[in-house]
Amino acid sequence: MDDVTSVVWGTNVSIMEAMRTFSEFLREFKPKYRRAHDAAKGIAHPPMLRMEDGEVPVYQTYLRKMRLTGQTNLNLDAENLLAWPATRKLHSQLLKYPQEIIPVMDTALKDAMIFLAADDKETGALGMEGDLGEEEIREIEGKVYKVRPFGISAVNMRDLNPSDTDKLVSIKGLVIRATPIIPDMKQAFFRCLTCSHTVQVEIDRGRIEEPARCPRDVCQSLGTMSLIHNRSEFADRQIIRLQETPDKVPDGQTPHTVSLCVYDELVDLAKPGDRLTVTGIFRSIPVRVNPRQRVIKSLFKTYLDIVHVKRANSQRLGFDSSTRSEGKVPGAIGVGGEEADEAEHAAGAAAGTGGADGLSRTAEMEQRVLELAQKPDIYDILSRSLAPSIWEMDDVKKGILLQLFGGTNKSIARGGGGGGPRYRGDINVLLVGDPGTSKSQILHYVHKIAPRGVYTSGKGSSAVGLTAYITRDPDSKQLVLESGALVLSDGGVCCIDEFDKMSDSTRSVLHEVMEQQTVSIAKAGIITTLNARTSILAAANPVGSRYNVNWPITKNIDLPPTLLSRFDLLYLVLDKVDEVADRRLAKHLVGLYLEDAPETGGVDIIPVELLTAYISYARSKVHPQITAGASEALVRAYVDLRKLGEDPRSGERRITATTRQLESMIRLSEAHARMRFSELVEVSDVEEANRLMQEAIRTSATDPRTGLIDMELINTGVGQQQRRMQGDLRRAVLQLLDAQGGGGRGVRWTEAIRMLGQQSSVQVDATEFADVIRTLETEGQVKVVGDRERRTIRRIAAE
Amino acid sequence: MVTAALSDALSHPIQVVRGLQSVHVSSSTPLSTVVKKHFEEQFGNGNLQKVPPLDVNHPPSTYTSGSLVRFRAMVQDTSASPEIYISNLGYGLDSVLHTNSSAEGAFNMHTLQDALDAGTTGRDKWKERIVFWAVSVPGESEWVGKSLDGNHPTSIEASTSSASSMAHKFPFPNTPHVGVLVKSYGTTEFKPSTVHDLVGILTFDPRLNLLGDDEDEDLVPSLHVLFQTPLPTTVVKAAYPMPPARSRTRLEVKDEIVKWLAASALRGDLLAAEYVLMCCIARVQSRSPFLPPPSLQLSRFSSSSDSSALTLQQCLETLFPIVANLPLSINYLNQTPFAPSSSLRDHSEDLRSGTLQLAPGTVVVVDEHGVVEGKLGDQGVRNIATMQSVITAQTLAYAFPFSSYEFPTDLSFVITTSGSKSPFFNTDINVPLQPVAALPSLSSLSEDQLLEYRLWLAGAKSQAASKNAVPITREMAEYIQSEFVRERKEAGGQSLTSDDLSLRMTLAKLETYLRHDAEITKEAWEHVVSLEKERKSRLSLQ
Repeated sequence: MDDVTSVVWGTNVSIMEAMRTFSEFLREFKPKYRRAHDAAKGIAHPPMLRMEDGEVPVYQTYLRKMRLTGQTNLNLDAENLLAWPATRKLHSQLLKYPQEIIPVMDTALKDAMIFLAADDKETGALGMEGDLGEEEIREIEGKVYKVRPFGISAVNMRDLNPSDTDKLVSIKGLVIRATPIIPDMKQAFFRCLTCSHTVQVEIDRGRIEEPARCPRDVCQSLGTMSLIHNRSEFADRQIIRLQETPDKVPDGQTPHTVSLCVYDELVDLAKPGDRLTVTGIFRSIPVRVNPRQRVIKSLFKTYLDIVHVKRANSQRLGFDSSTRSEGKVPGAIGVGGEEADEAEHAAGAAAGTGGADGLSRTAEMEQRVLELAQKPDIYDILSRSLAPSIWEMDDVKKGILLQLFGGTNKSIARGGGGGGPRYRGDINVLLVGDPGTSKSQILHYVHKIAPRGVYTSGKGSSAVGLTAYITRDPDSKQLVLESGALVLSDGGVCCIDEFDKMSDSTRSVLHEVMEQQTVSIAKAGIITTLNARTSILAAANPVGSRYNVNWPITKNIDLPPTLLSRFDLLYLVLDKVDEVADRRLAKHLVGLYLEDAPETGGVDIIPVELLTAYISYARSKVHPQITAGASEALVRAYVDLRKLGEDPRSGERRITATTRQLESMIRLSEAHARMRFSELVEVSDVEEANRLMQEAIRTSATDPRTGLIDMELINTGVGQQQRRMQGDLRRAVLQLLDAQGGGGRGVRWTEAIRMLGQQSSVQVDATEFADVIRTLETEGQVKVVGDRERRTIRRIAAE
Repeated sequence: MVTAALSDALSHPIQVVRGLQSVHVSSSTPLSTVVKKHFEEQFGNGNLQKVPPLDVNHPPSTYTSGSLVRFRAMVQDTSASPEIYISNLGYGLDSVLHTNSSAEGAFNMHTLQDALDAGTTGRDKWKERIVFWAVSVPGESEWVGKSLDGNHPTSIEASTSSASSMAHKFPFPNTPHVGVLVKSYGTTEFKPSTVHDLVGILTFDPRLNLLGDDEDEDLVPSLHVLFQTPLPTTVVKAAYPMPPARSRTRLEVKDEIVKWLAASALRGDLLAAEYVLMCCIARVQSRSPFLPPPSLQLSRFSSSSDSSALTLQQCLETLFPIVANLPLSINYLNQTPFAPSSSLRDHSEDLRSGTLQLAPGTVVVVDEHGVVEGKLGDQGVRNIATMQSVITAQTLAYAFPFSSYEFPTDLSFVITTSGSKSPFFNTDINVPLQPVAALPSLSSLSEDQLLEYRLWLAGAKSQAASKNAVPITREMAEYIQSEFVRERKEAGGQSLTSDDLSLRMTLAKLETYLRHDAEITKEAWEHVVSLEKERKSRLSLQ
């Protein structure tokens, strides 16, 4: 063996040996090796359907597939090299000397292709008989084959340092821009102007040396060699800028960006906005100040020469499918890897080793989250940690906490029309209350900790600001769709302050969002429906400067009942004067501002980051299902709630709960189970959900005049008691008008109110009176003439 | 006393670095530590003023490559990736050779081939340095430079030098400033919007073209940091408590400043002056629980003349080290971005600065006088939302392609508006201005007095960032609590909310700082309560 010449310079890598082991690997590797390897690392796989599946030489299958489909790229999971004992050395060589090893592998691959084709021709496999096979082999011999390694653990791009230069590394990130395709000269074609002798010059270290004189002995003329462009060989090249994803950027820092050079098939594979995992060779090249000078500075440019591009996990919104026209899936270059390994990777990730991510910070956080979930009083700890600076309001905090976890989204998969409707799992919460009761603070706080939280003020936002707006890009003059708050918080929480100050058109958008969870846009030729699967946390102020406890809630806040009923929980945050409470409040505030430890929480509160991580983890990993016991408890609670409305003394029924309340209760129970990291919704979850609902209903849906709960107040804005009173009023009005002498002159508006006031002990409410008159008018019983102060009500004769 | 080592460090910093390097070779400590130590020793004790400053009056163009300079700078953009340099080629400073012929010529010019050879043989010589863009502190008052930098001759050309080509990286692109690419060799972490005092060697390097092969021809000034000193947010060094001069009590000093400010900028309104001072020294006390500085609007602020807002701004500039002025108008709002952004639309990925990317501790004077009827465009609406979020949450979102990142800010806001309330912004405090009919004649301040006031306020401000600088006694806490309960009972819950109490407490602390007291006294508390009552009665009169 001529081993002396075949060692990569400056290393101990024997080319022949590398080639031999890789050829062997392509021939012999079977899935069972990978399984054994993964099992040793603690990664579980789903059992195989058949025992023989583990015995298939998997790369032989891939090679055949390449031949049949005419592809020239083989994706190689580097982990498989580790799994096979003979190639372990090759794996480390691949990482250290990719520049040398990858071409070796390419050659080995081509040999293997030819060998396999010849083999198949021998055995007379399909499509390889006789001449057909000969031709196939000739074709293979003419092709350039490439091995594209992937599957080495990704590092943070911040951690790339000079020692990684010329090594094989893998990083993840977000494509922010890509250049147009750059033609890269691989081989220059020169022709002598005098004798037409031609010379081909290959690229050497990024430069092409122009021959100074004609190499032909007889010619030898100086400076006659001229470049013939259309006979030179070019390769496609593109530079992509890959930015760190937000989860990898250290606190208080701006994201870093690296340049990627992609070649040939990989060009135009990724579009701005895609999340990628790329594998490539880290390069540092000295900067030439002036292309004409050979003098360089000790200034280096770094970039990655990319060998493999993999799109991120599809669950994580890997790529924006709307940017692709022909439905091409990025990363689907070559054979092997990808689809085949998808299942394996999924298994690895589910086992919670975080092996795919390789990020210890995440793993550590996960560990802490799981430990935290074991605590029996986790519910209290979490609710205490939510806005610890805000005093008391424990039930409000608990409600908001459950909102952050959210129920599970349900869709009826086998519904009519293939995939029925989707039921929202998001919980909406409304806080109504006096000014100066730290509602805004709660909102700000939630916005900070909620994954994908967006904060907006009802006063400043327009309907388009909330949904999406269309602007014209100043450069390209193209219309660009920019998402508004609701779309941005898709999958998160949208906090809307000053909810009551919203214009009607803005509010109407929320109707759609809060039930259908979509936003429809029809503007400037763009018609689209965007997802807005968002929970809404809103704060509103009462109509007057303060909440009037003698009025029902619908009268206190200027919001249509249809919108109000879409909130699962509605809390009244009132500023009551109560000496004991005031003293405690003052003590808390004084402590907060002037002393060390704020009183609430103080001891057992968890930091914001951990809280966020906990919530994100629960939302992504826990999908509780309702047990039989819990569903019974739900039914019981709902029936109980409805029974509250039955009044044995009168035949009337107040409505205390509707199906919306039942749905809310289900969502809250699920959220509570999710908060416990429990895959099952237990009776205890339902009990807590029921308690929170009762609390919220008691404060918001109690008719101040009767002290009874009446859901109609929220659903229609008019309570049972009020409706009865309106009936009385209506009768009185008609009586009054009849007494005044039929269809004649009628009664002045103000006069009527005065007279009715005299008749009854209760003062007649002007707005209620107006309501009654309006109904009577539509019924055609009365007619109002004139306007403002001079309005007169006339009775229209019944006959 | 000027030692030989000191004068060497001043005049030939590169040779000093090379000298240190040749001695260093075998040592295990990193070269950057050795260099840092050496230069710190030379300039540590009062000699810092000897280093020529890099500022608006001394822009980079007035220095030759290889000069030692001092740069008081705000970090603007840290998104550049670290650079690799070859450590055996002289601390990465070899490029000086091309531009500075006075340097010793014995050092080889090296070629691409050399570097590649060096690359394959001596990988371990490759080191990394942090690169970021820094600008002169936006809104720095003139007196700061005079008091900190010592006397350095101003060259004539300086005054005429226009804004650099990188003006978009300064919050106020139309005002003169200095922008420099900083290369730091140590392990110090630099965060956006923080302020540092950097001492280093100035060179001119090409900007890297990250999307192509050929580099830009034009060179940008680069500062190779030798060492840096942290700057207090008050920029000038401050003492707390500070003994008052001329046998006055501390309260008298405070009252003097209040009176001066009221007379010279607020048409004699003492109440407004008190609030302005309190808000200007306020800082973010803590992020968790979140205790932001109170924001202030002066309503009914002169509707006729536009000079009054300017006077207020000038007065604040003489008192505080960093004051930024935002003259709002429809045009300004529609055209000037308030938040930094890195847009895909322009060709570089540069993080452009925004008006509100300011150093912590900056007093922002917002003048709404110029706003007239008109249409607010897309940028304008966003700007208002951006500013409101800085006012209430003290966070500023930097926009990057496909994602946005929030950075903490620490700014004090004083908004002047001619109406009864700002049309754009909600603030914690609204003080309607009530000018006093007869303006007291004002004797202009002497330099000594000015200096005292500046240090006094700096002292107060330096305390305001910490949460527990002034303790409260148990009796005082008890007193505040019972007063709160009593007042609520009397007013029937209609006047005093918990937010009011929080505000009073914040103000009481600030009042204490202004008095340079050691703890919150009953007098300070009562004073704040009476201020608040007067303010409320003014508001109810409107």
